[in-house]
Amino acid sequence: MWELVINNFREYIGRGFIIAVYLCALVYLFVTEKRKERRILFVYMPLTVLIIFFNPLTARFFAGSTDENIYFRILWLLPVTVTLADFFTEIFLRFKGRARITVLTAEVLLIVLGGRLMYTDDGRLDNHYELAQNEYHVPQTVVDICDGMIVPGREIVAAFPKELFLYVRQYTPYVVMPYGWDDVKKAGYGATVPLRGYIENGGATAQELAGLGHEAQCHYLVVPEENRPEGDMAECGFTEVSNIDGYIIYKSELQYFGLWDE
Amino acid sequence: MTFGSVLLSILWLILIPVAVGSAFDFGRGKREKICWSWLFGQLLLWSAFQAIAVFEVKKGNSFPELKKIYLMIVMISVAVSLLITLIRALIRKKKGESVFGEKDVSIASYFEGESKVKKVLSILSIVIILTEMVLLVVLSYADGDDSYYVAETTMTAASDKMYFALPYTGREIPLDIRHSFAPFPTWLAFISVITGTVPVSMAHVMFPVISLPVTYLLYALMGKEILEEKRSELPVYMFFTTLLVLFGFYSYMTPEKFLLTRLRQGKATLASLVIPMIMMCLYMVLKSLRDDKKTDFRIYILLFMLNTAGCLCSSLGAVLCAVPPVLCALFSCIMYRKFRHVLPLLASCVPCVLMAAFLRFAV
Repeated sequence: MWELVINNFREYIGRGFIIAVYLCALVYLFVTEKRKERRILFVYMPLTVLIIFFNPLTARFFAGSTDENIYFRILWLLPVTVTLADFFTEIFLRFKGRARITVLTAEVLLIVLGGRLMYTDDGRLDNHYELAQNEYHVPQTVVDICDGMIVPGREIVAAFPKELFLYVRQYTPYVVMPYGWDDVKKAGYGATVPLRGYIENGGATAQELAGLGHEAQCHYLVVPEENRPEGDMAECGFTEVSNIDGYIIYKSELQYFGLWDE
Repeated sequence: MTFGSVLLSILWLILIPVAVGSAFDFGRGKREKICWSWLFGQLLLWSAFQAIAVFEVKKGNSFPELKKIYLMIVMISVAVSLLITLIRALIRKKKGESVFGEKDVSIASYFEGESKVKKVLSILSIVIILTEMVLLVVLSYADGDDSYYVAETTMTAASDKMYFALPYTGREIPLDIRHSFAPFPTWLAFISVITGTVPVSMAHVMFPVISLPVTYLLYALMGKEILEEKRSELPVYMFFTTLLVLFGFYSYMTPEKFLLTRLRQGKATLASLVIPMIMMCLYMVLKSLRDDKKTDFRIYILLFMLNTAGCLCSSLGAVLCAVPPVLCALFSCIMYRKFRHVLPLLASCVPCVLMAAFLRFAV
């Protein structure tokens, strides 16, 4: 349990500097603050939250009743921004004239250098900024591929690589997938579903890929060009219908594409 | 996204909440009253949605049924609130008072003394907020959880059913109790249908762009409460707040990170709006104890609604929202030796207790 607490705390504090400043502010308030209402809200309550958080019994209860990876959310009860904004304002006001400007500069530098700019992109697939390509904030490739698949009035099953399936069902509910982001959550960036593994990593023969596609009742398979399977997919029941932005779209010859009441 | 859908979004996300909240007549002066009205109104609407949605989902009713009932409640709330506000305004006018009660604190009063520094800091804060709003439109942010929450919104808006399939894949599943009891994505689906906005655009663009400045306004309101006699230093406080938010990506889990990147997910609204507002309400309760004044009962109503809204945002809201009022009740009893506020504070946690009980026995 202790490991769960420490891991969550370590991940929450990140670089640690801002939280260190916050803890200093907490100590400062503990020593200097006389007003009871402020002591309760900015000192006693946060300290109790920290005691609750670092209590292995709380962690055990939490892990038993929900996802242990979200244990850090207890720390949302620490009013970090409010306390620091108030703390910095108070220090700023203690000085006058030029000294005040110096203090302000020092405080700004502390936040800028100790924190991290929100728009920093560290290349993670699920923490990634890019220029919006449309009003949906979904990659245009996903929009084009899905628009080409959708049959009004029914759902279509399609398998995608992870960089696309993150967005597919945000854009349209009419494309159903044999696996989704839940598989990424289960397996990190690996794959527990063999079909996903072949689509994302390649190395499959046409027979293997098509076999798994048919097994998952896929109407379409979307495969990155560099992972094109060896052999002829058409012979295995999947015809290459288009290539959109480097993704090959295979259409099943075995699945029914009409409406069920036709 | 058409011009009409933008206007309708402003209507549903700002004007209707302000109209509903105007009945509470909370705050000093026109500007503060509008901010408080939004907070009271939006929380009343969220609470109503939570109450209806939980039962509708459990009963297995369809999304159109939920839409119909909620729409009716919104219309009645708007009509009743506006009527109350109108009658109050007429009475005040008759008495020769200002329609908005107390007069606004003039903006110029914030710039007394070292006005140049404060002016520069105010301008910088506004520039930071506007830049963040522009970047919310111009930059797209990928987050894995969107493939659950935004997909749920899209699915609900299109299929007229609620929580019948796993949003990740679309495969049908038995009712997902944990997520269905925190139906923030369903509320977003309602807003996108009623405003004619594509659900994914509502979630990624419209809702965050409208909610971000509102959240900052609420932070300013909180700053005013906390600064008290140093109220005129609000520009300095807000500058530090905006800067701390802008540089708040010291980890992936900070409320600031959730505010600027994942506002479309209920948990982000919980972390960056609901929990700070609970703290503000508690501060107001503590101040009334300090001054030995009767606590305005509307604060307890607001706390009750905040706790209900916390449950709408996330199932974890049931725990997180209940902790601060309970701790506040405990410490204030010890420090002030006064007990009159304990019962209302504990009563404000009833929605959280109910939610926890539902989750415990229904899952």
